[in-house]
Amino acid sequence: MSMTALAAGRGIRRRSGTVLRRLTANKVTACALVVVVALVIMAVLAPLIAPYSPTAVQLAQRLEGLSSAHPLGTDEVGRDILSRLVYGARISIGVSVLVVAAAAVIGMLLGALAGYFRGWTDHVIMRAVDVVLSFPSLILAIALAAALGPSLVNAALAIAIVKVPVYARLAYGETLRVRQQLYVRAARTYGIRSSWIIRRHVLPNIRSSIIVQTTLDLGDVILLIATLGFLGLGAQPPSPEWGSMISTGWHYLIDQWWYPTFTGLAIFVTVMSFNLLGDGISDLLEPTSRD
Amino acid sequence: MLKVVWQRLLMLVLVLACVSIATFLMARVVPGDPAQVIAGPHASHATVEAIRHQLGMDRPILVQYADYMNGLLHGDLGTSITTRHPVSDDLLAYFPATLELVFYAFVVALVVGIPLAILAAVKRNSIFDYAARIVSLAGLSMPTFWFGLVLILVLYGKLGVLPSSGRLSSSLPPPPHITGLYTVDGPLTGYWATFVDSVKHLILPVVALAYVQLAIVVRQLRASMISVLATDYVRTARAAGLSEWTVITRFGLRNALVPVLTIVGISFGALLGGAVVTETVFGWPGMGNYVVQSIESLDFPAIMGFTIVIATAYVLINLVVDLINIALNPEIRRGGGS
Repeated sequence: MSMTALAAGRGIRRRSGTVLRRLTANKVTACALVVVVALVIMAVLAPLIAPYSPTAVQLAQRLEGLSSAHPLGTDEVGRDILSRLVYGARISIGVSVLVVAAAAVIGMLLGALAGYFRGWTDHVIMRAVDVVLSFPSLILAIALAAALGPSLVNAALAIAIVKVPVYARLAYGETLRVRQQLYVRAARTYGIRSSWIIRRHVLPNIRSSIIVQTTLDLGDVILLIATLGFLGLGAQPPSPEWGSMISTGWHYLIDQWWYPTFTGLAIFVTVMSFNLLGDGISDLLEPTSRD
Repeated sequence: MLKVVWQRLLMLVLVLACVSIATFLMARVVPGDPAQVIAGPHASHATVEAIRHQLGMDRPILVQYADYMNGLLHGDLGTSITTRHPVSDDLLAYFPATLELVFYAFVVALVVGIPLAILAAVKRNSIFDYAARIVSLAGLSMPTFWFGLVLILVLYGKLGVLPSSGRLSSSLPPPPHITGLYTVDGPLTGYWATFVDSVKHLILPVVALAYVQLAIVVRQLRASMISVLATDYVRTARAAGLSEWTVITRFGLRNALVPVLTIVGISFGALLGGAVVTETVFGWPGMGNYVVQSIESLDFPAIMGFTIVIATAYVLINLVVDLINIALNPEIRRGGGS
């Protein structure tokens, strides 16, 4: 067993080298990758990159326009908008990665259990999934976040709950397929424990479609976080979360247009880069799933 | 076929029952103590207890649910904490505005999206294809509220050609109530000035809202059309010398239609969610605006009433889509469903 695992591990490593090369062969995907990497570096190194503290109030300099001191101007209490956007990347990217990872892991386990055991486990889990999917996702996220109380953590929790069924359904379908494979049936015939079969045969085989889905979901989750923030259900002031910045910034839309406009542009560029990268990865790993 | 329809209807009842449990839990169990919310932070213990008793919250949870369910079946969604009206009355009053917005956005998204997607699929890598791909990518990446703000900034703020908020200018009276849709009631009752004004007020929110669904429809239909056009039967039809028009409409579109219907049903959810945000940005007096105001005042009966109404509408729309698909698809029609 350890020999096969070793060989499989080597195979993955060899493949990942070509994956990066093939991924960057597409110019659009390569650009998206560069932007995403830059955004992640910006988020991680925010204190080094941001010219000011994101929460330093300077009432004397409120609502200033674009200048060399404040390239993107200042907000209603004189905080530097560029610095807030840089720190905001931490929240948007960090929280969305956590949310997608949590939803993917939980959804994958639920879907695998339902698909492997069938019977009542299947019924209970998949009907619950149907119920969650019978709400429009944003409406359910709003209702859940409102019920839990407005905060970034609760918004993240609400979005994770909304996203779990997507992964559960995907994992369920894949598990039904894997379950029919000869090696799984053989393992069952030998009386090997279900937990071992799920861990060693089912999960590794459904992993790649789950990973593809996570890359496609990151952008969407960033948008959901921003939307809840905009509606006052996400991060609370003075947090530099992009959506909540726009929810105060839009009152200054006509006279200080740069304030909400650049903040929205940050969301747009980030989400678009993640979406393009997700498309690129999904084309590469599952060429049949899309054109 | 009848068997499949019955199965779907049974499933519908089950799902709606579970949806009611979900909203019940969100309204009564999750948010700590609604009685405390109603009483306010400084209320005495006795007041909170009195309110709890009044709401029936001191009874067993199953009894509470049975009561809630009984109310739902009679159209009772509870009473709003802020407006003190029945939530169903409030929602009904705001419904026409939302319907008007969502309906036109839906029409715009399909009327623009379907031809654009077909053109992109048929003329791959042409200028149409690139346009379709950019349009759908941007739509899927753009926050709806921000797109709305940009529209307001440019067309109201800079150019001053369109109004930025509300359904009508304050100088104009709404038309006599027939349907509640100003664009229908205006012409019916001869209020032409109101009609023109309401159309002007509709343009920006409709564009902002339509864009999300347009992006989804274009992306999915393009992909589905491309895969249909690559099938053997389309190649055979071309080889047999059928005209390109016949190939696209008779073979391509007809087969791409089933996934499109499903997409339209599912993307309707994005439209309903987008409506909440769009109404907020454009001060549109609809159900979405009502629910955002309810969120600010933690008015749970209102929030959950809205949620269950929207979820029910969404489930029903997708049921209709399923039924149309069954009617269109001979394989499902005969085979007892997949």
